Amino acid sequence: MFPLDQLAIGQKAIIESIETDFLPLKLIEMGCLPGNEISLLHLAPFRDPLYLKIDEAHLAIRKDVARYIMVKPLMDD
Amino acid sequence: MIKNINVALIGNPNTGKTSVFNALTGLNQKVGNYPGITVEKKQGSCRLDRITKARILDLPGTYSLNASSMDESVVVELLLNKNDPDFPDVAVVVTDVENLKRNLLLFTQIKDLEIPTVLVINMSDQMQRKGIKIDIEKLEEKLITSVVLVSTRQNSGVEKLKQILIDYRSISTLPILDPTTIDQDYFENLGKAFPNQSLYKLWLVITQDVNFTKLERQKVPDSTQFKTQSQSYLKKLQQRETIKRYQSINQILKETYRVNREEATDLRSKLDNLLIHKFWGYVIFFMILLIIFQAIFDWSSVPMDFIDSSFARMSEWIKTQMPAGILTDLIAEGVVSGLGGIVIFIPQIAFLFLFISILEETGYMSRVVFLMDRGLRKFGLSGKSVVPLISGTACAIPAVMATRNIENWKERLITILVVPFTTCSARLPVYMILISLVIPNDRLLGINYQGLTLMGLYLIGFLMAIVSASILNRLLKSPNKSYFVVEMPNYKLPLLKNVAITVWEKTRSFVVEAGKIILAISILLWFMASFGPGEKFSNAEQIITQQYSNEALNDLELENKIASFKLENSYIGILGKTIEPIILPLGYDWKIGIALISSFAAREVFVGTLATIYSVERDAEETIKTRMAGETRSDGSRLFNLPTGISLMLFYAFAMQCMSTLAIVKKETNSWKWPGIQLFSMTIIAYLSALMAYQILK
Amino acid sequence: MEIFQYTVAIFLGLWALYYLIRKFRPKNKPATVQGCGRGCGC
Repeated sequence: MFPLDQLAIGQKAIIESIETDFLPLKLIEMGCLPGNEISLLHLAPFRDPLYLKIDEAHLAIRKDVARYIMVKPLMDD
Repeated sequence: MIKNINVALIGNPNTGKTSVFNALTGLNQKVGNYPGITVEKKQGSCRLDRITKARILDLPGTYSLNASSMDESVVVELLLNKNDPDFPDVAVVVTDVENLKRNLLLFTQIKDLEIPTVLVINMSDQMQRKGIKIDIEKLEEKLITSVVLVSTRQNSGVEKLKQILIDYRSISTLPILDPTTIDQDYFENLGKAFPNQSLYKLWLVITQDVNFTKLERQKVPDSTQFKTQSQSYLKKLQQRETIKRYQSINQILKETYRVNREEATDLRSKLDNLLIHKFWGYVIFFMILLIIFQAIFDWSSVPMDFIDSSFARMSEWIKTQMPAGILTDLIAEGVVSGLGGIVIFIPQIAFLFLFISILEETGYMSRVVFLMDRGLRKFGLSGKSVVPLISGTACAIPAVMATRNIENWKERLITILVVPFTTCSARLPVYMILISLVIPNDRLLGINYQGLTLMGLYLIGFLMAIVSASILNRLLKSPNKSYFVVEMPNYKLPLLKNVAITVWEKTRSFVVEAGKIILAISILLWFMASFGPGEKFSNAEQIITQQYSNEALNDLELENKIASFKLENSYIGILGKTIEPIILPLGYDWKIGIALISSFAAREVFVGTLATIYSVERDAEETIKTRMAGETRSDGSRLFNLPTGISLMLFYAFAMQCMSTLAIVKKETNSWKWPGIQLFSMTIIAYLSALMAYQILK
Repeated sequence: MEIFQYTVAIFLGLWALYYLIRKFRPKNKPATVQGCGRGCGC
């Protein structure tokens, strides 16, 4: 388990936990909840911001927020 | 007897809510502002059948009822206020077929307010391509409402929606989520304290300012005891509410929604690989920028020249056709030139919004935000500052308004404060005439000096914006955390109708908003230039005729002399003389002083004012130029020499000489503090750099 | 005719003055309402 910003491009993971006090509610409402699948689609230069697919939603967040999302990578199936 | 019903369109951003609105109302719509705030209010009407007319309100896009921005709070405020004249009889939640799950979150929240709520699933034409199947009947049963599949592209489903709206009374108002499942103790206590009230509504009122503190809320009597809970506790409850809602939505969708991923074709990833590529992404973006600038400065020059000469002709025509008198002069010289000063920008503004709305409709703009965010953040700006910075090259007013979707207040404020540094097109006529006066029309290695100077002025404006942004970034304190969440929508072909309506609306509101201010200022300036105190002004004709009695002047020359003498002694001339000591170190005389003052109406007035001062026909640029070139100082040297020219250009590059922008900044920040700071510091920067340039080059 | 022109011109001038003053005068509505996007020190 590690913070989201260390995920590799194209890797899929499951959200393990989120630090709710530091995440905007909007992010949670867009599906950033423990148990949902998350994958990192693209990174801008300097690995920031991150372009993610969370559940069904495609969105971009900054690294400083991504740090508060802990994920467990899925093995390739 | 026609029956009116209120319909509110609600939905996530990027669901094509506006397309549904346009499909229902066509051009029967008007855009205004909510009183006191700058959130856009779009309203339209639609005849449902012979006896029913719907007033349709297109509410700002929102992801949930837990408002986190001004736009979103408008939605909540309205839905909680039964006494509001716009309070909907029926709510239409617009969702898109691909993101149904996330969209249903908002739907269930609105349903729980016990308002009849219809679900519109938009973009149904995508279903087959994306391999989506929906069991509509079952979905209707589970959500206790009517569900309509709509495709604005194929124009299907809209009629069915109208039929459902006519019969809105038959839609159930049963809620979906029982709030006590979020936190039993909390909500049971709340229910005991306020019996007979909807728990969810109470809860919304209580939590309204958890995310968004500075809201005017309707008061719940004595809700304080429930607010004493710490904010983070309330936020936890909001999260639990979100989780609960998703649980029931997942359950519902499991039975009604099927996606066959195999059938999905992936346009998104193919385009993304190119458009946000670490190298090609930027190349493509700058190419698009080039095209936009090309359109704004090159293509629009044809209609602009036409408008310019038409207004000059109109002014002449009025002078000859109307009976001579003060009103005729006011209309010909004040009103028409004021109007011309606004109308001339229509081509540029229209082109600008044409491109911006196409880029937004296609979904490309979010990719630009993604690409530019990191780079701009270094300077305290956001990826979302890109649109304002591009718009600023046409005019600062739409640029300031375009900052509204930057969530982080500090980043938004910095963007607003620095945007007037970007070279707006009102500076262009000033630069043009000054460059042609003081920069030689020669080439060095095939590069034209004049073109080079113009480019340099654009760069210097942009650089100053970036530098002052990073200074402000250090000075301003912000307790805010980052709230940067950008949805990356699917790529879509833009709908022509949507683009056309956006361009029309934005251009119209620019003309009306900025137009009235510029017009009013032009009228006042005309009065100040046409009247003056004392003998000298009223006896101008006599004085000049006497002074030149032994020179053989023809009538026209004499008239010109009288006009400049009058101007010198008019109120505005006196003002120019008063500030002369301040601007003398910059290399300007009182006549330039007048032009500087009148430039506060709008910068491009500079040329017109100088034309009046040097008493030549308006817009005959060659003659103004020759007159300006011939102007001398008391020591006989040329007034418009290189040092003065450069000094003036720098002054115009940096000074905040635009009352309309100040008015908009005041409106957007709701305080005099920020436009005040802007005016003060930009003027200082302009003054100092002009001073330095003149003193060094002199 | 002269008087007519004067009246209308002065009327226009007064409108311009009134409009600008109204536009630039701080509203005496509760200024706290919108202020900024979020809770912050402004």
